[in-house]
Amino acid sequence: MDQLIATIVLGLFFGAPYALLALGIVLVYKGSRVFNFAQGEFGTVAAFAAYIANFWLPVLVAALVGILVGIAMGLGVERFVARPLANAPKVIMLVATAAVATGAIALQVGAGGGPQLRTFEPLVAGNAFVVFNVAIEWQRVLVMLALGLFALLLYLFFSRTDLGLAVMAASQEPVATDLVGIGTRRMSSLVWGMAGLLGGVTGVLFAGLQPFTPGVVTQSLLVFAFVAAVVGGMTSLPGAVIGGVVLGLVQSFSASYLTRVEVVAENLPNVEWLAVFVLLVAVLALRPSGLLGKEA
Amino acid sequence: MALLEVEELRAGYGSQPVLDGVSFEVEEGETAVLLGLNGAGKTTTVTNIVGVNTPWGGRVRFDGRDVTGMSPPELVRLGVCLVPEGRRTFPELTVYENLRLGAWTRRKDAAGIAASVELVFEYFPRLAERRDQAAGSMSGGEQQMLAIGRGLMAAPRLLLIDEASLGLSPLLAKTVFEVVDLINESGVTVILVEQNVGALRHADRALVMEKGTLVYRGVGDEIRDSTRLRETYLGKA
Repeated sequence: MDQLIATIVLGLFFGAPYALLALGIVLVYKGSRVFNFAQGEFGTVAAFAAYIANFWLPVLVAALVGILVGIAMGLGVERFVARPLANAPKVIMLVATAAVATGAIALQVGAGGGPQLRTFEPLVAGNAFVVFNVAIEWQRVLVMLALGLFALLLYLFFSRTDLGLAVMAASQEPVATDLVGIGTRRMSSLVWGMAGLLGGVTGVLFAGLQPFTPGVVTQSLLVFAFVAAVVGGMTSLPGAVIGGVVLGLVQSFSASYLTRVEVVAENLPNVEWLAVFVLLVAVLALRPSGLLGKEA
Repeated sequence: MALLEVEELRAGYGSQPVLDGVSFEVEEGETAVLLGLNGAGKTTTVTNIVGVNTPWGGRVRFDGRDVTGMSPPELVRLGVCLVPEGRRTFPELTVYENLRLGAWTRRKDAAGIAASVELVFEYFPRLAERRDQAAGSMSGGEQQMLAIGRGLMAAPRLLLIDEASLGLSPLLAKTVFEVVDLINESGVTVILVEQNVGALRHADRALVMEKGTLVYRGVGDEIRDSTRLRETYLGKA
């Protein structure tokens, strides 16, 4: 019983960063119909900016600088990549965002002084609580709080504001969006800026969890965030949150329970990765539109 | 002074010219019909007036002001609104949400928006019944009503409607044209883009296009005799 509760708590907290990054991926997909492979690097670039700013500035201010850099990167990618390629085939846009990600990582290695580990201190140090021998750090609680806050804000944005409606309209019918006087370009900037914000928050918080290297968010979270987004339905913001949390739970359960099976423990040292893959295949096979998705 | 003055408008796509100097005027309070066969340049004319495309040359004046090359949002604010060909409603949004977005340029005017929604529902009672239904789940005729309603939400002075009757049953087309009459009687100047000669019955002015130029302009009673128009200009395809 203790083990079960600990596993659930761990799963929830380890799924939160996936969900936070997945929110950004879903937002861009919902608003621009683009698979944004640069979402992770909005995070790492923000983390690097915070790390550098922290040489001169206190950690909270440095974190804020990092988040602002994340927003700026989101806006920049919209202006110089997404907008010029708006009418290009989707696959070109997808490759372009992947190019942004690899370019950003190269820049971190080159201009950032090599691939070694760096540390950015957590915004709040220490453990928040311990459940059955599992310690949860304050920083993880912050990630969870950020997830709850942004999920709520995005929900309100899309369900209660005209601006949220306009963003959805722009993704469904760009021509008519211009014709009613909304202006699709501003909506596109808004979406990518918000994605930069979400990525930046993810990166700055994630960098405080453990020492990090160039490309850390892409490497550690992006694939899982994409799986979370797809599992959730790709266009559904609650789906992204649920997808991220489900992923965290699948990982923590397989790590705590499947490893007890001798065959598994001996042959599959990273069984939790395999479990994520099985989950993805199962969702794609049984419910290709995702748990909360409307379209395939 | 005419409300809309189009002077030697030239336009096209890529290097392909479509409009070769189109000139006409529409007076305030009129309903004009822009007639022509497929490929005559009707849609190109209206999309260049409202700023979806940028003209290669010529002038567009609205209410005496040069609006050539302005963006659609700027023109909507001035009171020029196009209901596009193919309806282009926002498929996943509800009827009500579609209408709300139509009023984007005056979104701070809550009372005005509520009054406009009421007016649209009065014109098209069917839309009131489907208020909370996704636009994409409605029939073509209902979507056409919604597209016109959405255009009205901007409280335009000039409403351009591209192919309102295309794909509609004769009965439904008649309903739509009757509402267009009501809209016009309420003081809105209307330009109907049509292949359907029947639209002449609802017009004060007829403009007939052929191969990128205007080949006939007429007003008043002379355009009621549509058989002659049909024989002269529209039956030669």
